[in-house]
Amino acid sequence: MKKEELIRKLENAKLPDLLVVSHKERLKKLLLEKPAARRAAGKSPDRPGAWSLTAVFNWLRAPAWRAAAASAIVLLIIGAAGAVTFYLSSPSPAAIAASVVKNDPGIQQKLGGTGEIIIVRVEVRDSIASVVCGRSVGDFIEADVDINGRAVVSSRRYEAVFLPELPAEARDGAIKIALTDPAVKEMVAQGGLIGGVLPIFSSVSKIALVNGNILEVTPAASQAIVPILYDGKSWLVEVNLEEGRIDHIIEPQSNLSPYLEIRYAQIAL
Amino acid sequence: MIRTDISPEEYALKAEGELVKRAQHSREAFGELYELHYQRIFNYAVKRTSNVQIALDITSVTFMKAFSQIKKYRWRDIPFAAWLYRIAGNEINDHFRREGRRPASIEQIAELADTNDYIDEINQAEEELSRHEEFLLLRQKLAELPTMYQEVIVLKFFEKKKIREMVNILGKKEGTIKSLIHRGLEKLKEKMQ
Repeated sequence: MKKEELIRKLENAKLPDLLVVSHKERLKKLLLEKPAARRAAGKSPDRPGAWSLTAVFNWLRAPAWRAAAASAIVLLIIGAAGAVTFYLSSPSPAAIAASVVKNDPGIQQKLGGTGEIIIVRVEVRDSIASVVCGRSVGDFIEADVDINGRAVVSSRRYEAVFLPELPAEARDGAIKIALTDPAVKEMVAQGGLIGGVLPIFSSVSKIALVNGNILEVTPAASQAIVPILYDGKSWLVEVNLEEGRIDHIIEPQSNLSPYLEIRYAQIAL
Repeated sequence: MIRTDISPEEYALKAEGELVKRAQHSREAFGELYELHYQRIFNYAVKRTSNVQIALDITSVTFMKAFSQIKKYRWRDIPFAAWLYRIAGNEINDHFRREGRRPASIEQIAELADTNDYIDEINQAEEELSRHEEFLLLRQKLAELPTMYQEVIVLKFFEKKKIREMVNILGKKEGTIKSLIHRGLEKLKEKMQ
């Protein structure tokens, strides 16, 4: 077959134009239903701007589906350093998998940026482990690790992770802490803009694996990132809200999702 | 009144921009976006997977993710559909990577779905799809190619997207997309021999 003929075939093929009305209606209803109505109906609790995909699939599909998925999942929730230490000091398959991922150059490159790789979940099935990891900002990577071969065999990126908004009090507190650093204060004094404060992933209060491939992550509110736009570049100031100190100042980098908007504003010092 | 200082396309884009901004604060406005884009995203998923149930799953996830992220979405004078295509495309690619591990498939629908209407409708959609023999044959051959080629060929020939639109959807450079289409067609031609 000639290329032109193939192109003609592709261009002229009669294409399906399908619609499953009941799915469309149910999904729309689910999306647009007010949180109170969902709670009254016994569905998943809600938070502003975020939606539980478990609820979607429970509602659109069958309850049995979730039970089957849930039974197949071993979920390990890790509280940052303590849990990582647990993994690294334990000889379990999960510990091996976590260690392999943390040291894999390909994963490090995919995550971009700098700073420690945080393991947020390890799921072991036979000799393969699925490890979800990330840095304090940016996307998550899920890596499949051959435990016997101690190697990452495949990996994929989660581009959409649900980030709850930080409460106003925590946001203001984070900015105050960030401004305790003289260099940050100087940048702001010279016209640098402070962006919307982001939650940080170094501590995870809740993580749920939904539908086998969707992660819902609720970061703990003890740490946050204050973005500073100065001289055309974004600086990220990691602050510890509980201890009232700056953990790190990350130099300008670009691994934030292009679809996550950071709103910057000038504030009076 | 139609303004004359901008083209209809620009006007439509501006109107969509306004709707997206409203949707960032209003469920009803998001509902309008949903009505505008649901069917095209579902059919894009059908064309990529040739499986109605998987396409429904992908459509659900796409809109739930869009709904969850809409407040953080940054309008950049690019049609909203590009973002939805991008989310759906990532879901589809992920589906292909994980094939065999996904628990749901069309065969399971009878025991999983909870209403007869829903099952009937899916069966009807499957039947309708099965009548598109030429498309299914092309899809079958396309499925033998790496996902990156499938993606560009479906977008260009089945979704009739221009290269400029594909740049927005895929986040790749124009030259890269042209090259992927060219190589994809060469590979598909070999499969069709």
